[in-house]
Amino acid sequence: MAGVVPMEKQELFSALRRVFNVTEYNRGKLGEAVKTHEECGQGNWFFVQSSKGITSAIIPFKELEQLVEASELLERLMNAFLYRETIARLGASEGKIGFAEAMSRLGIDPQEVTSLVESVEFE
Amino acid sequence: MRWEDIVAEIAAQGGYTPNLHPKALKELEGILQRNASTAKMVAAAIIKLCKNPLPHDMGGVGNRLGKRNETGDLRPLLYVKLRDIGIRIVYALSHAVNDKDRNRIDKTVTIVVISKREDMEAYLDALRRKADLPADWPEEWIK
Repeated sequence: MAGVVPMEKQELFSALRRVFNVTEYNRGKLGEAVKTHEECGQGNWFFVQSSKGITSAIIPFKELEQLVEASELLERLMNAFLYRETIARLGASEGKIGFAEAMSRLGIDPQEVTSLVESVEFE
Repeated sequence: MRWEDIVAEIAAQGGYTPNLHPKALKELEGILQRNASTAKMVAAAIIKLCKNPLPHDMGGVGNRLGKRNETGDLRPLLYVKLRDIGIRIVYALSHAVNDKDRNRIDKTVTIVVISKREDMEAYLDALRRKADLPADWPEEWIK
C-alpha cells in the first residue's frame, strides 16, 4: 500500500498530526494507515506504532473533518484518555513516585543534598 | 532533617511538590551507581528547580521544549541542564484542585527524564513518557 497522502488531504493530515502528536518518524506509516482505512470504509479507530515506539491513533477523514474544529478539546481528551490508560497499565503502585519516597529508597542523605542546593547552577 | 520535611518546606515557601516518573527514578538510580556525587547534585538540582520551575519567560529557571520534526510535540514540557555536569532534567508542571480542600491548588513538578545522553534521545524518551502525565497543566504553558 502506498504511503502517500494526496495534496488535498494535507490540511487534514496536518490537523491529524497536531491532534494526535504524530511525528515525522511515523508519517509514512500514518499515510499508509489512512489510505488503507479509507479504502476499507471503516469507522473504527486505527492505532499504529512507529519504529521508534510512538503510538498514534487515527480516525477516518469524514469523522476527522467534523472533529478538527474541536481539536484542542480533543487533544485534552486524548491526553486524559492516555493518562487513564497508562495508570491502569502501570497500576496505582507504579505511578508517579514522591520525591521523598524516591530519595529514601535510593538511600541518599538529605543533609548532604541540602548543603549542595545553593551550588547548583543551570545553563 | 528528613526528606518529607524538605518537601514540606518547599511547598510552604510556595514551591512545587516534586514527583518522579518511575523511569526517571531508574535513571537516577543508574547515575547513583556510577557516581554518587553526581546523583546528589541531581537531587539538589530537583530541590532547587522546585522552588521556581516556571519557564524563563514567566520568571523561572525552566527552558520550554517545543515542537520539532525529529521529536514531535513536547510542549508543555520543560527542561533544565546542570552546568558542568551536563545532565538534562526534563519535567512537567501541573496545577490541580486539592481533593479535600477545593480552595487549595496542588502544584507539582513531575521529573520525566534525567539523562546525559544527546538531546534527541532524551527528548524522544520525554515524548514517550509525556503520555503518562495528567493533562491538568494550565493553558498558558502551552505555547
